[in-house]
Amino acid sequence: MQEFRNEDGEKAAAGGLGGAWKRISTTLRARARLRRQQKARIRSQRLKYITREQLVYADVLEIGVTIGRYFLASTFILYVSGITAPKVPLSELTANWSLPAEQYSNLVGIGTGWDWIKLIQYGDYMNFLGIAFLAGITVVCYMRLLPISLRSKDFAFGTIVLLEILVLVLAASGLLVISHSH
Amino acid sequence: MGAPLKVSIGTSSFLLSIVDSAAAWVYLQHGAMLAIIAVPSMLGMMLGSAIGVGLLTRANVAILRKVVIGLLFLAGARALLKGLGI
Repeated sequence: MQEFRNEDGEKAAAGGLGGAWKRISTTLRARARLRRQQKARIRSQRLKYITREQLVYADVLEIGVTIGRYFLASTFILYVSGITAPKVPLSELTANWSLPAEQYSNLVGIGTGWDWIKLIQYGDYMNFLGIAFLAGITVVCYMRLLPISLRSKDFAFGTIVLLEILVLVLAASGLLVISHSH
Repeated sequence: MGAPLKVSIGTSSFLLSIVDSAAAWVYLQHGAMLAIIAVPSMLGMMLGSAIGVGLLTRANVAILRKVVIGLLFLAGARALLKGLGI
């Protein structure tokens, strides 16, 4: 009799837990659906005032900036907390930061162009990854716009987008690095 | 030019972001960017612009215009004093 009652109790508890979980998941699904509908409504309202290209650019930029912000903050915390050792110690950095860029680079042994990528294991140069990521988002935004402008046969806008991409890629390539010869 | 102030601020920020991202690569290629100064500045500016955009949608344009004029005046005066070596 005791065993029978226990079995019943377990069943009721399982049913209670299952029922509660079902209610919670239904509520969560309903809320998610509502959020999606609200988002779609806001998007269609926004499209009354701005073009699709503007919205696409803003969406890509928002995602990129959010990722970049957290990444940059994380690498900076690792750097300032001393978890990742810096290439240039703080005492040496403050003593030399008034030097011209080229002299500073030579003094601490940093090359030009993409040479910094070899130093990303150091705390200070790890931050460059986040900066490079944020600087590269604009190119990604424009790359997302290019097929849209070509599909809508807006060739003038497409050419401007293509030129923007070329300029930014040229800047990122390191070909525009200016060296001072003495 | 007669454009609405909020639209002008948005356009200006957008243009600056493109120009600055191109310039950031050139600085980065020199390998002499100081993370201890650059990163807090970037994070601060990102936070400031996020707060600014939030306020911009609710701000009074007349007050905003006066603030922008005041800031431009201060920036101009500072540049002038620096140029004159004062």
